[in-house]
Amino acid sequence: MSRLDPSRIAAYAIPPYSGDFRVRDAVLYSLGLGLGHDPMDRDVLPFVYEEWGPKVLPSFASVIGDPNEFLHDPAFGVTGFPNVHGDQTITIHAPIPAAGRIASQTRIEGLYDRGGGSHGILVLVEDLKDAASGALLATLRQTDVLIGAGGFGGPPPPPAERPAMPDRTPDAVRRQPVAPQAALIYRLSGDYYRLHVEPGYARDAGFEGPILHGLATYGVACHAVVAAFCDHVPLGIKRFHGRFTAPVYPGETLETQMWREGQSVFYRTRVVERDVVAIDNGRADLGT
Amino acid sequence: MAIDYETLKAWKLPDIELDWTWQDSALYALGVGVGHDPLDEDQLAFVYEKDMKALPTMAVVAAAHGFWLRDPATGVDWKRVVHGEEGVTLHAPVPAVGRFIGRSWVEEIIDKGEGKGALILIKRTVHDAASGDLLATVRRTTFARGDGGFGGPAGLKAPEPHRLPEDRGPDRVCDLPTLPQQALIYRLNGDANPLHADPDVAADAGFPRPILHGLCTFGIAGHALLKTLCGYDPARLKRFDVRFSAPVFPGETIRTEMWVDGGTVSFRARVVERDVVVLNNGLAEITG
Repeated sequence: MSRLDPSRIAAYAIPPYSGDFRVRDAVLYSLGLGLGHDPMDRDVLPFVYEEWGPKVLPSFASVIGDPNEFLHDPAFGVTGFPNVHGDQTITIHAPIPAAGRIASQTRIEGLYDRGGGSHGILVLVEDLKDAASGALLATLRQTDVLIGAGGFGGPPPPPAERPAMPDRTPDAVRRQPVAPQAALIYRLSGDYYRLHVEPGYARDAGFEGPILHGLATYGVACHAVVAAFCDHVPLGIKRFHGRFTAPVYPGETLETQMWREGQSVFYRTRVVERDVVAIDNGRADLGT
Repeated sequence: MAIDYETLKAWKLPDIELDWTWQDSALYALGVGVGHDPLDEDQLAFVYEKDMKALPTMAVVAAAHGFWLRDPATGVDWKRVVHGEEGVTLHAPVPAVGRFIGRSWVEEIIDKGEGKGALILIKRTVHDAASGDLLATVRRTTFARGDGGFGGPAGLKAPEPHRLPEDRGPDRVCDLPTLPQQALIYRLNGDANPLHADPDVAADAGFPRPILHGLCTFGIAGHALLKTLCGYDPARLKRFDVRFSAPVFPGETIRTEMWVDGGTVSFRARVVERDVVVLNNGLAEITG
């Protein structure tokens, strides 16, 4: 495996992004999360059936922006390392529409080093703007874990946002089955990374098989909070954060445990079948 | 308003020419349940853009005209129409990516008599826009239950359905699952009939919940033949005709029963859970 070269990454000019999205994309995104698995659930149908909605989760913001194809450009210099999502924060500034056109610019907030034998951490920030009005819709902040890329001489990562879960039984729990083909559906929302589809590549990266996109689990958790604490109104979330702690395999069941504390909901999402936590230290800030 | 034979027979539909992306092909395959085993590389070939293949049955949705019988000027009582039969003849393999031209016309209208409904026979060709090659001919019979006795020409008779062998049980059987949200996924291929998504519309039509698209079941049976008899080689399927006999509810298992006589395959499909035949009088031709 080649060594990570931070000077190459720093010198790389990330191109600006602009792109359209349609109502069908919003529906496809929600189906990719597994919503609609009970097609008679009238509270969920508006997310997957546009004539009853379309309702759009705040986490939809994570797929309408830059697909970050530069991460797959050898010139950027991280293609030699499998890349998994570390954490994700979405801050909502205005309601996310079901259709529109986005203009954005992704920038690198930091590149950190966990040391030799460990990982590199890349932090990307993107402001999503409505291309027509220029209005700021959402800010996305994601950390990517570059597996095995540590030891390139970079600074150590700053402390991550890790709110503790309250020490009591969850105030709400919601389960969501993940279809065996969920990653195949979710990837049509624009993340075509082969880790989520190619069995051989996934095994080489150390997984039993293709894993679900971290952002799909994140969307499931976001929907759980909207269902449990926002009366199914997606506008109720202003900020949504989660830290990815374990992969999810399509076909498993996700359970999101939630605690309400004032205007915040703390959550974690676990895989029921293997009893592992897939998203931890999750936090949703409510408000309209 | 009743059907006027000359008007409907001469109904003009504009040619449809449109680009078809790999995402469209993947969504069609996912819509008919392909990828339910995400580790099966034979199935992945239809949903993953690397060396992608298209399902032959995709010809029935590629550059298809929408539900144009809904136009009041056709005279058809559209709320009472059901899909009677569908058949496709493949002249060349359907590419997964390309530009298609769809051309539709009314082939015949058969008046079955007062209270007995009418049959509207529609033919459609699918051409490759780049080469001009004829890829597929699609034959559809729509059963207009409310339009019998409109005064169509006497003596027209519907073609006799293909008879399944009665001397023996099926030679091959293939079970394929559907997801509870299968209709919500399939409808993104362009069939927006609310019967497949809206519980209230389904209830008005006499169903306890939304039903699966007939053409989705058609695609599932096509998958069964491709898997069982064609080694997943789409070029080997030359013809695929069915008659629709009962609705399927999303989430049910489709069992395709096949009788093989050389290159001629007779088949039907039933819902395992309710033991109801949902596709009947199936006729396929395969080569190799």
